[in-house]
Amino acid sequence: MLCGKGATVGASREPWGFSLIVNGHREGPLLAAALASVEEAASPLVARGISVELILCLDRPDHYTLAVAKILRQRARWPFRLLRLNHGDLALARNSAVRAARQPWLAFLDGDDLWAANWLEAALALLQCEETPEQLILHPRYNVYFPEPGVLVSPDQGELADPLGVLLADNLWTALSLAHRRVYRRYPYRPNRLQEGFGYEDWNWNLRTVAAGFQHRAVPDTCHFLRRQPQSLGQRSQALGVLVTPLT
Amino acid sequence: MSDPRATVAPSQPGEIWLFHGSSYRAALAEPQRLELAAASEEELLQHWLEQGLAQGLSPSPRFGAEYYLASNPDVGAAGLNPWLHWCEYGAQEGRLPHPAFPRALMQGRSGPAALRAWIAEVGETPPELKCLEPLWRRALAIEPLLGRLQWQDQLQGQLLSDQAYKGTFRASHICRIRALVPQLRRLVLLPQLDLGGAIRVASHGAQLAAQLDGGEGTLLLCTDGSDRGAAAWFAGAGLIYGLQDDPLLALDREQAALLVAQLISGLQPAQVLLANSAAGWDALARWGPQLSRCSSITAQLNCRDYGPGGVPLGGYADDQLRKALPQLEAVLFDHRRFADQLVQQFALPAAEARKLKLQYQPVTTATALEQWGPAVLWAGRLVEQKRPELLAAVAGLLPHRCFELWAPGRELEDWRDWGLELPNVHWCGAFTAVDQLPLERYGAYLHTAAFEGMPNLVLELGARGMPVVASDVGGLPELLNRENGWLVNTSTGDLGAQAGRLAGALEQLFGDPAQARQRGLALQEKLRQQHSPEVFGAGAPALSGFFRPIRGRVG
Repeated sequence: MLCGKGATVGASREPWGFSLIVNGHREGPLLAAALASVEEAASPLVARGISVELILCLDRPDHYTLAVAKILRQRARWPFRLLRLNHGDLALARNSAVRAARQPWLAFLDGDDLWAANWLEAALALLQCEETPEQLILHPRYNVYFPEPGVLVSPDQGELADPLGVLLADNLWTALSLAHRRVYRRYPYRPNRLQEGFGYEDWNWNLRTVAAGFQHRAVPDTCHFLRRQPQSLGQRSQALGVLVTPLT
Repeated sequence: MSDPRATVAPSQPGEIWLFHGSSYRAALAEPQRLELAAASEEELLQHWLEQGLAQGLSPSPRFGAEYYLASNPDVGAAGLNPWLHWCEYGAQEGRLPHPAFPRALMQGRSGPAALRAWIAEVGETPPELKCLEPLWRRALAIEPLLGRLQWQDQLQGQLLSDQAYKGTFRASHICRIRALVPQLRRLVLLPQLDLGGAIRVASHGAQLAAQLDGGEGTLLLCTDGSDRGAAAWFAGAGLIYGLQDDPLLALDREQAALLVAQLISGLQPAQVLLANSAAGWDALARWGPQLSRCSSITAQLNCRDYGPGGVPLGGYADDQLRKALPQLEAVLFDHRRFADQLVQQFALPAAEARKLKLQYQPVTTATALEQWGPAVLWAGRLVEQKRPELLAAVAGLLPHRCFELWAPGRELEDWRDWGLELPNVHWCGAFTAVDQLPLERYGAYLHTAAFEGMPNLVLELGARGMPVVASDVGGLPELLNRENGWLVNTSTGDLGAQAGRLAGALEQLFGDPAQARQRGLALQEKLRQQHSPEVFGAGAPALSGFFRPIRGRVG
């Protein structure tokens, strides 16, 4: 996407820079694939002189996962921080990573998933074409599920007549978003309350950010590869009959 | 169909265009694609009409021109345009436009109508699939399990058949509901608006609440069916919306229950009245703790269902109430007996038992006729519950007495199936309100039901002073006694014995007109004291927050 704009953001024109946050728990060697995809997606940005840092955020990891993470840290070619947390909640873990991030733009990945190679470059290209990129929350156009195949198309918020109404029924976007740090700081993820029957921290975050006036945008020609895990939080929530945490 | 533009244009307001510009552009060869990179939808449409159509290009990703030609060689052999052929002939001949097209949607529709039905079901599909394959190949070098994706066959097929580009049916319903009632304050959950006692009870509750706020912010949500026969009962009580009204958006019971839960947790109406809605009860049983944090929920219950031989078939009281009771503010009964029975049978603790509350339904008394007629009135649905076979047996014992049958809101063809084809039994047709009945023809109302709550017809006819002979079931003993009617045991003995007791009561009634009139007036007086709209309205606020004004918070 070409729009001829420069390499700084908005009116303040702060330099572009990305904190790439990978959330992990007990992924073990699956982390290696996730981080390899991060490296591949970040390489074009680094080549253009854009700052990136990688934050591997492990919430109550098992020994196996921690050992893999340490090896990956040794291999890292860019600033790499390993956060060990004891939240036991993905929402709080994401919030901790946001607080730790030093770059203005944040991009999330879960430790068993992969970004497509063009994700960061395509997202940056879209942001650079916008007058107010801080108002955007970016998602890939497609979510490709594996090993059992499946594809979900992420709609662009502008394509929906009533995005809030649709969001009350369906979660339109995963947590693997990309947006300015201020969005995540102003609207931190709310903890899941599975015992009370409320969860889906990403869905609730989508609801709140849409209600607050941010624009969720699908970046054309991009995808994430999402691993179906029988024990994932989303599937556990479904089994428990959990509803999305309400707006208020 | 001579005008190609008409094949893709909306044929009536509210329909979508079938031309999908970005799909069309993506299908063009590169020089044209770049040339049209910034073209508007209208410019792309013009391009298709002037060039693409003649090249056999499809206006929509949901019509596979190559697939159509490959599947229908006769079309290509005749040199026909695949899109125009399908629109004009192919669809009605049952030819598929795409391998993923659900054949059930054909239904003799024209091509454009069939395509719209499919798009309404699954949404339009952006076609930029080509971008995914190189990304997948690069990721494959990192994650070997990605090799299990059979890219072309599985994913492309799924994108075209199983994606949620426009949201689910639930999402479509919620968007429509938000447009209909932007600020939801009260939600009434109904099965549908059929002419039945439970719906009548619900209408009384909704109408009473509407006296507080004019029905503003009230949604009457029909979750299970599309009958609207009783819509007039709810006039002014709120806006009606049905989950099953649009056949293209119909929900099964599980999805309807989830929608109810999402509606309550998402829009947070201050008050919910649950009135015999299956989806509503299912939602409450499954997500009750969450929903009760969002809204105050009151339910209405009238009676159990029973099968042949008096075997209980269960119902909301047995299936869902036992689990959901802690999450309810109140459960309202139209008579006391059933509530007392549940408290005893379920061993309810005092705190929960107190939630089971009696709310006699309102009826307005009218001046009684001076002279009643000689015939017997029987009115009700011809179903097992109402025991038309018992009516037939009674009529058989009283051949000199004329019996006239009325059924609420429907023409029934099977009344003879119940043994009612007797010389003294006459089928009169359907009615929607008691005022439509020629009451001057009748000297008694005969009620033969096997089980009941508090039957509305007994209330309405009693309010006009008509003498009543009724089975001793449900709430009727709380209304009828020897002073104001004839309450007859129809639960013991065989059919002949039961009919004999009812026939005896009728003969006593017709044999002593003065006593019949006296009992009719006594029933009218009892209704005035126990069931007047004033009594109903004055007592309701203490029973449930649904009948109190909603202040401050708006959902």
